[in-house]
Amino acid sequence: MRILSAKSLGKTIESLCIEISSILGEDVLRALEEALEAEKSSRGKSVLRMIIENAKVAKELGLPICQDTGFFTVFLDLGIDTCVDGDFLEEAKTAVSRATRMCALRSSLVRDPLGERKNTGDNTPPLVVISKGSERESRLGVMAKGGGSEMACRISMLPPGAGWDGVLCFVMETLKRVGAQACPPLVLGLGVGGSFERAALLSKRALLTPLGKNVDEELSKREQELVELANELGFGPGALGGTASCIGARILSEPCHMATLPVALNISCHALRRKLVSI
Amino acid sequence: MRELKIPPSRLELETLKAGDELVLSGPSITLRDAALRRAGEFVSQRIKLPFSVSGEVIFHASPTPPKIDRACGAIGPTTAARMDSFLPLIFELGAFATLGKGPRGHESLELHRKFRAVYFVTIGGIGALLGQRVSGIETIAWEDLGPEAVKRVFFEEFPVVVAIDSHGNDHLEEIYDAYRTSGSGIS
Repeated sequence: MRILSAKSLGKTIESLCIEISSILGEDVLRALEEALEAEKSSRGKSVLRMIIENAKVAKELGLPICQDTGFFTVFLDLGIDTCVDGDFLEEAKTAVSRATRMCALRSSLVRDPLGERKNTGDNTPPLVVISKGSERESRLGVMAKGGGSEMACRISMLPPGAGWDGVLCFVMETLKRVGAQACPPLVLGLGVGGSFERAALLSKRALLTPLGKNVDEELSKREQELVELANELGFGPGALGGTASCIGARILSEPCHMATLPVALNISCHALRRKLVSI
Repeated sequence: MRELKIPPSRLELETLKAGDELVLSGPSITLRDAALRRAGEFVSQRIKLPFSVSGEVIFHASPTPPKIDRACGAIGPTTAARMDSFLPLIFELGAFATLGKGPRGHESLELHRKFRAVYFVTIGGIGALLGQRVSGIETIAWEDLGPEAVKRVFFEEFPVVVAIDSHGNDHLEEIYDAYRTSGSGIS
């Protein structure tokens, strides 16, 4: 039996929160550089240059990449025969609070959605997702997601007969309506299958997966199709017009009931801030 | 790039065309979700606002706290469409422009024409960079709203595009159309 200390996991969470707030992942930067190459609009190119320059400035000066420093989600994947000693939820919470203070992050959470909506003051509580994997290895991930792109996410329970074409129509309808408000070029996380709530979680997890080619040939083709379709919309970088509206898509799929085809689209802005590490 | 000093003259404002790329210099006021909601409540209860909106640019924004030795933390626009329902209030209180990101709803075009007002957009998600185009920030009201408190933000060559001009022309819809393709037939 492997025992992980909640306290030391908390320290890792804190450093991940600090890192992702100011340092954009290599995979995202690479995707932005590629988008810059491919962009046809000169304004779109100049916006992409500013986005890349912003990442440099944020890293050098230790400033947040975006003023919306996001809602933190902590993912803990426990490997086989692994458990946690201590109060993990409390450690995750205090880790986010410490990172918020240390990096002068914006406090963007409100306590009571339908009531007074009083700010919690330190970006707590974070969302925590704990899962048991079937591998030996354990992993810890942190994602910070802004409110603008979160507001653009959608879920749909499609009839099974709708198939992949139905999924594409759902994605495109959503993007047409709200994609320009979510700070393109976007990254799309698609959760397919599971159940209503599971699809939504899968869609978020999909954003945690590094950008690049999917090892699953079929999913890889579909991800590519999503990117190409999204790039037809014309929103362009910064939603100021252009051909680069999307820099990546990841799909996660799980078994579902024969009567359903749950699909969730989790839209990330270009400042996709997340990191997953082995522990 | 052309610089627009705030406040602009009526003539300068009316000659701005949808699609113009500019830099703004001068003061603005931040108002977004929570503060706009409260402003609406004040006005409907005939309570005087603790700040004036007349002749101002309304910046839909909420910056990060500045680090010591810096004028401004990360700052940038939030989604303007979310504030569409507050546009009549903003314009009736006398603001000449708003600044946010992304397209506004179609219904807002007529409002811009009616009030001779302008909607500027800037780029979201580049808060570290835009923070360098702000020379000062001070909270002027409703500190209890935390990051959504009303702040005065001083721009120094802050880059914007005219998304809707005072004649109700919509630049974003037009430019999306220009770059829209439909190879697949689905879009």
